[in-house]
Amino acid sequence: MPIKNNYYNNNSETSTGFEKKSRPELKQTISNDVTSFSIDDIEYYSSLPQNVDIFKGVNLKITEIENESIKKCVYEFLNIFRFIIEKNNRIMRFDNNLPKLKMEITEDGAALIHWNYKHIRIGFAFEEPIEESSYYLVFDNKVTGSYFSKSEFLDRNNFHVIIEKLLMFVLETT
Amino acid sequence: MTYPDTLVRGISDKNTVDPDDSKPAVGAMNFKEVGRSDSYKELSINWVDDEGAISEIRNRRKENGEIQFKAGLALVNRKKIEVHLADSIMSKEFCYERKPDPENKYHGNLLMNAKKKIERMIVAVLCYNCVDEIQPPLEE
Repeated sequence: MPIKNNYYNNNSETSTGFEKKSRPELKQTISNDVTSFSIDDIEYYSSLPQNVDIFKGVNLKITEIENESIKKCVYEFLNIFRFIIEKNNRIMRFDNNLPKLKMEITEDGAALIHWNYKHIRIGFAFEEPIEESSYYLVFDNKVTGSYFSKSEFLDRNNFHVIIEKLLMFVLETT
Repeated sequence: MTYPDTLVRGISDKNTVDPDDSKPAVGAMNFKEVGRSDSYKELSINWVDDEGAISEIRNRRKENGEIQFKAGLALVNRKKIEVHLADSIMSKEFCYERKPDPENKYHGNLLMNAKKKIERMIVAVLCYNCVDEIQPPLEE
């Protein structure tokens, strides 16, 4: 079933500034059966330009996630990610090719989404319990010799802020 | 205790090698809880003291005679580990050891005792920033 997300049509928000525009309300009319979710079934995805469609043609194995909480969380995360890409593409008109997302399911049932681009490695780990989910950023520029890494908890209420910051970092440093 | 600059990790599952990057996926470096008194999780490796270390792991077979590491061998650079995981080594969240056994004098472990969010990052750094090459498996 195609997703119709009301993220940008929601006028009931009362927060201000950045959060007002990007805070996800997630009132999308999605199938309740998230196990039927398939990234290629989403009409919206094909509307993203090829160079920024980080979701298409990659192994986002959402149907292989056994834990329902993790599955819903991943779904929510990808949906917000998609809207942030779309929003920023409207403003900035990306020229470059953004890296594709990849997913792995670990032996302990966690879903790991990787976003690797040149000397930047970004990972999102969706864990059970969800509160233990986290993300990391590893920057390793072999030309300049600069390196740093950090990891933080992935707060479900702050997906939009985290994704936007990481996207800006990728765009500014590549 | 002295260590060589290279260690080798066997990869069993072809799905745990990223074909785009020629790097192991994180599933190839799955640290195991083994009930150690110091609470560290282990990742079994061979220290490459000489060519015999690579030969041992490449030729290793399961009880049924099949080659154990069908997806190849990841050669990991210990100096890169020292640089990229310096903070984790300092905080004792990550370390390594030699643990030779009667059948394998090269055997050792990478060891981790970290919160899950740190653990995820350490494994990613090992896979993407510390692996120099993946060598093909032994052909049957």
